[in-house]
Amino acid sequence: MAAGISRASERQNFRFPMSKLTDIENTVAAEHKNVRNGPTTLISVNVDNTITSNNTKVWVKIYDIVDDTLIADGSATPVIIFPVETVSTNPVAGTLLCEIGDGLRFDEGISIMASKEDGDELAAVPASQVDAIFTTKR
Amino acid sequence: MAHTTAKVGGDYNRDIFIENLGSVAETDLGGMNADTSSELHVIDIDARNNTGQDVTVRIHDATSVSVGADDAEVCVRCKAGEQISYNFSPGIPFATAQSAVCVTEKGAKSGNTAPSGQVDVRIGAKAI
Repeated sequence: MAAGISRASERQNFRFPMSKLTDIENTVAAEHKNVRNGPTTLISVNVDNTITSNNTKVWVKIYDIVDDTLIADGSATPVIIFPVETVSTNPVAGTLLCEIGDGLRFDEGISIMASKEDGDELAAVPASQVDAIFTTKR
Repeated sequence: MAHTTAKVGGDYNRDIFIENLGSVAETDLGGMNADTSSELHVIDIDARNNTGQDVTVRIHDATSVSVGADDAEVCVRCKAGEQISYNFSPGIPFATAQSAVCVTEKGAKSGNTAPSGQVDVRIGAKAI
C-alpha cells in the first residue's frame, strides 16, 4: 500500500456500483437523470429491449448533464449514442452490452434515455419498456 | 488517411486501423459494403496526441457521409489526451457499410470540426 493512501479509500476507488434503471424510454422519469448524483465514471451499460410489445429498434442516448429539462426538450446533446435492435432481429436480438475500458468520465452527471429515433433528438419514445443496467466507479 | 484492414478470427473478422481520423469521413471500412451486412464490435480511440479538446467518433451506416448533416448510427466520446475502448456485445448490426469520422463536437450529427492533434482509431467489425 502506498504511503498516505488508506485501504478504505483504495477500496472506494475500485468499487463499481451497479444499478438497474427501468423504463429509460420514459422522458419524465426523474431517476434517469443524474443517476449518480454528480460526477462519475461510466464503466458499462447493458440495455434490455426484449419486451416483445415494444418491437422497436431504439437508440440509447447518454448525456453528461443534470438538467432534465434540457433532455426532455431535446436541446441537450448526448455524448454516447448506440442502437439496440428489437427482440425479433437476429442474430443480435434485444440486448446490448456496452463496456468502456477504463471508463468515461462524466463531469456533471450521467443521464440516460432511449428514443425510437437516431441522432441527437429525443423526438419519439418507444411504446414499451426499455431497461438498462449500468456500472460506474468514482 | 486511408485505413488498413486485417482479417482476423474470433468474435469479429475485420480489424480496421484508421491513422489520424478527422472530419473527413473514412468510408466503407474494411470494404464491408460488398458483404451482405456487418456488425460493429469494438471502437478503440487513441487520442494521446490530441490534447487540445475532447473528441467524438461517429460511425455511420452508409458508404458516404455528409459530415455535420448526416446522423450517425453510433457515436462515442474520448477525453483530450487519453485513450478509451468501447466493446459492444453481441455487436451492432449495420445494413449497408461502416464509415467513420472524428470531430470535436458532441453528438451524432452537428459539427464538423477536426481535432487539432492526431487521433487514431481501431475498429473491430464482423462482415456477414
